[in-house]
Amino acid sequence: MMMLALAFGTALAVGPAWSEEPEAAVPSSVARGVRLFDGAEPLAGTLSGHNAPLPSAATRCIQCHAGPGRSAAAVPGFAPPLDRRQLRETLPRRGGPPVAYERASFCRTLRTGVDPAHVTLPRAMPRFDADDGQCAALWDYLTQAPSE
Amino acid sequence: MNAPRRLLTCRAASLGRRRLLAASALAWLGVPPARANDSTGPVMPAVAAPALPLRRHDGAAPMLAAQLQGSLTAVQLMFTGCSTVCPIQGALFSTLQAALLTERNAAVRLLSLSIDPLADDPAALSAWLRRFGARPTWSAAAPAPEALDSMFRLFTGGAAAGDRHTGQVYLFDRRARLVWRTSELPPAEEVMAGLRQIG
Repeated sequence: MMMLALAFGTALAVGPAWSEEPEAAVPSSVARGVRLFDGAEPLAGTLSGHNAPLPSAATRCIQCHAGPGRSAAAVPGFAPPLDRRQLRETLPRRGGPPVAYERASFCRTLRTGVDPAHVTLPRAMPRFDADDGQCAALWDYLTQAPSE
Repeated sequence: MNAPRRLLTCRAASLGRRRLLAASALAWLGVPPARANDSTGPVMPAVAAPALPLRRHDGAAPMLAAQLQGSLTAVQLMFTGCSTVCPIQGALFSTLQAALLTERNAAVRLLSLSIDPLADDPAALSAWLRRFGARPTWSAAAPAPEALDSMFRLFTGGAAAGDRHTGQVYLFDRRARLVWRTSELPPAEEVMAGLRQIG
């Protein structure tokens, strides 16, 4: 993970050729997004209908999702991969109407478990207690880092 | 000389994992409990645990019915190599264990049943229990490989392979009969309420 973060930093130092939104490409935010995605920085989460928060070992994004340059620990198909194309393209999701994620709707989904098409995510996806900085870091990583 | 056996083992392990992961995907996608495991709530008529040999985390080899006999038992299906819902399931049983302790209820037992008997030997199952702070009333076990289908039939009623692993919790009465199914990944309160209903 450190190597990936270093790679991001190096890429930005020589010019963010892979970023289509240079104004949003904050290196520290992207690197933090990697840490949050991998679970190196814990992200508190609770299952819908539950009172007790899950331990951080059970709330790592990478347990279920592949991210840019990151393979999921699970087999492909268990949960949608998360990258710029998956999030930013207008696509039908979970039987709802076609919709694309914006940063605000991504954060809202992360916190409430209700996606931009107003479809509720399954209980296995925790509702995360993510603050604005954590949300922004994840969004920046997922939408700005190059997919492999 | 060992090659054929190794090949068979790998195939069987792969099959077990495919079953689980396909089922986990269904759980992720929000497959309704009714489709995953018939229904939630009371199981009527109650279903007796079949003669099903287990290998427990401590190396003992009881039959499933003997393991369940005499105590109310909450059972979950899992496998230790699962990175998706299984860590959540382990955390939920840990929360349930804490809730039982709070109520000073030492009569209810917990059982994590692996669907990957080829990989989940006693050492792996013991590590799983340690990871979640299991106390003596929480056991883990895997069926004998040839008993896997019987185990699935007990919990799913013979549902399709993709439905074979869910995050539901199954409650057994003191006579080793399946009498209650919870929702997917249930809160501890829901399991406790089910236990009170069957107690």
